[in-house]
Amino acid sequence: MARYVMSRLIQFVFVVFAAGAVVFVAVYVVSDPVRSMLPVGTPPDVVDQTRASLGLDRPLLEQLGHFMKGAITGDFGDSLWLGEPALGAVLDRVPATALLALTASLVGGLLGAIVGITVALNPGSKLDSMVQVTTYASISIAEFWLGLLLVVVFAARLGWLPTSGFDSPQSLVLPVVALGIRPFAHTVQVMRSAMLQEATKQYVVTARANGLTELSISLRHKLRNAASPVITVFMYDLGRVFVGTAVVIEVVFAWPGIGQLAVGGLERGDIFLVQAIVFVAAVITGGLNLVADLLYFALDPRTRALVGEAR
Amino acid sequence: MKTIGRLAAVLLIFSVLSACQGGSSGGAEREGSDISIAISQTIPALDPQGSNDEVNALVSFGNVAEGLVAMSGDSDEVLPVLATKWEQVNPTTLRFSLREGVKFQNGEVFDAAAVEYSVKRMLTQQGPGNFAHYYAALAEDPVKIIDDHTVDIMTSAPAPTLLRNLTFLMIVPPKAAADATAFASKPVGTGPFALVKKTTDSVVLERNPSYWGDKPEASKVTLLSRPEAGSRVAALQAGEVDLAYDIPAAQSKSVPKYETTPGLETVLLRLDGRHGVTADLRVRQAINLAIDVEQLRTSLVTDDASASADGQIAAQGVFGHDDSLSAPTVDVDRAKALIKEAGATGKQLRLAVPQGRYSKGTDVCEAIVNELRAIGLDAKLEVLEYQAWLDAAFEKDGVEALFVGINADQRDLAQSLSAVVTASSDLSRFPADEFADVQSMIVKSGSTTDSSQREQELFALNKRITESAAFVPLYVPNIAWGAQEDISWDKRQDPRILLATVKFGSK
Repeated sequence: MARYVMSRLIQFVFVVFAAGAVVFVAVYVVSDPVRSMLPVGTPPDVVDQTRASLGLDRPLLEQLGHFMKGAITGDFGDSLWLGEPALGAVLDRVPATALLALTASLVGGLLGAIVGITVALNPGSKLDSMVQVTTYASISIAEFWLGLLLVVVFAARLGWLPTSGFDSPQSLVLPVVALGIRPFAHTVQVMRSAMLQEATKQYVVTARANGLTELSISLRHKLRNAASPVITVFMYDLGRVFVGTAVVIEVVFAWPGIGQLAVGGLERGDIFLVQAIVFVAAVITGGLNLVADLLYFALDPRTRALVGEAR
Repeated sequence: MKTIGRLAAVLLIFSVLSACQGGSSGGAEREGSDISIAISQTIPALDPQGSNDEVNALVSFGNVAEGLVAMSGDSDEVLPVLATKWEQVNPTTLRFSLREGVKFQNGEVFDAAAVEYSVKRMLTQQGPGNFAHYYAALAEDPVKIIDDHTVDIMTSAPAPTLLRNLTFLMIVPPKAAADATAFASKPVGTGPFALVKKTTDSVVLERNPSYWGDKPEASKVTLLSRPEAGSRVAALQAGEVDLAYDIPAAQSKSVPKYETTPGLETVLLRLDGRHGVTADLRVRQAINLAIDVEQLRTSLVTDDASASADGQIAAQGVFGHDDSLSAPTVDVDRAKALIKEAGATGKQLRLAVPQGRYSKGTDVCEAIVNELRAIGLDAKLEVLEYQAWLDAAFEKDGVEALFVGINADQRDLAQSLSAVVTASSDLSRFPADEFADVQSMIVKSGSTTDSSQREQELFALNKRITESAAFVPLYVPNIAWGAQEDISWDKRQDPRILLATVKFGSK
């Protein structure tokens, strides 16, 4: 166990730094960062001066070394646009994104699990096919569009909720709905098929022969075995929402999180800020994967056996 | 699991309930004379001297802080602010008489020493977005204090654009501004509004009780960052905000009031006068004759640009803009003849446009490509990501035609010239050999301090540039605001609002 955790931790650190290095190089390959941060038409000598003052005229390898050293000590330089330490600016905004991503994934995931278990009780029923169609539709909806639609209907027209911002518990509702719909639909589908798969297993037949009701078989026996893929999907969705979809939704709802910061930073060519964001995003994604792996470990004895064999 | 199920059900009911609690009033009524403004960007560092960033300029220039002089909102005129008057004592020296009895919001006194400190601090500003280079003309020791309320500002050579550039130089209190980091989150100036709070997505300003000028109507102003245009429109509809910046023309009917002013950026085609098919003057002339600029503006760009570019590279309101010029009359037959004469029939012309950066940019370019094909050129549209477009813009023998907006926010033709005409600018593809006189004309106009003489020199430059046919000036995009019906303010050509001019009408 300790060895497994250790090796996963080492992998985690490696992934984070590799992601950092890839982004660092990509920023250079794509274009000249100084060009994109200065207005078009800035005098050439000012451009050169800026490049030198930021150390961007040094050889790439030297800069990469500097970046790695900075990453270890948490110093990514000052954000050019916000005028404050880049990492601090990112960390200031992580809680807002975390609140949004966690709430959306949890609400979506829990509701999804309940609906998934329910429809798996009666596969092929009208309710089942209705849910199937709805979830496929939900997965295909662009969250960005859904978000705007929610704002137009529930905030601008009906005036029930604030249109955007981050100042009251009510302002959480619309972005959570927009973000939670996909985790919800995902979980319904995975939960349903995992439960149906378990339904043919020997232990279920035994339980049924013992006279247990379908509901109690589902909740007492099948659920634990079906949980593994659901957790995979949950963690995947959480990661996706956290460092992916939240970007668009934060822009739509003016949510002051890392997604909105990333958009602003990229628009202004603020490389130091972008690097800090990617680094933090890599830590979050890697961390979530790590948690998921450890959860399997706790939930499913078979994983433990597998790891044991492999080592 | 049952418990979890119940919990989830409770949560759901809870969220529905809290949704209903939000009330159906459709937004709050204005409290007293408070206003809130939705802006399109995140809140940056707010050092009044730190950057020319739109949000920083909106907060700082003329609201929290003030300069010696300020730019009129709708002309190239320079107005007195902290300086009551000024005179050109010799070609390299401007003498300013300072307003007396003015204090900064933190109690520090505004005097000649504060001016000297501010000018020197400006010159040491670093990092992108800094505009220390606006003041490159200043002498090594640029400020001389004559007495507490008189200062001389000196340049190393005659600099006719200095006064206009000084409208960007905010005067800051020496003690408070010494700690640059703290100052960027709590800037202090002499302006009518003091900053009380800055968060990651909002700025709160309050009326400065000891302001030297007229008392503004608004007592508290909240700026809210709302990056998505749709959210800003919705916030206006719901009555959450009183004003919202940057509302696309397509949404103009969805907001209570839609106000536009032509901005200071001219969108144009930069033709490469040095390479490719466009190196031939006849081809450039043909392109200028073939493109129906006004038709494009009125039928495609419509409400996003209410002003024509008048056939020149700097918009109305910029010093050097010549009202008597206009776009050439379309003459497709003559254009075809010129192309034939130049032997350019079937030759390649690539037109690069950045995706999503200019409203309707791609549509306009598609129409242009068709017009150029009609006169015999093998025109091809390249819709590029911003980064790739930037590369194309600076590449030495890149695309023959570039769709680009040239900003003249310093309100002087010299700024546009130095961006795209001056031979040393790396964005310039001006046929410098063919029109060698243009370079010397630019240099000469850069040291003429007599305003009316300089204006004539700039008019002459405008004519010469038109003759070179090196640009196809297309249109001037609007600055667009949405507002509640009862709000009015002095409209400006730059994306700013002087909050002291905001007035409340009867509802």
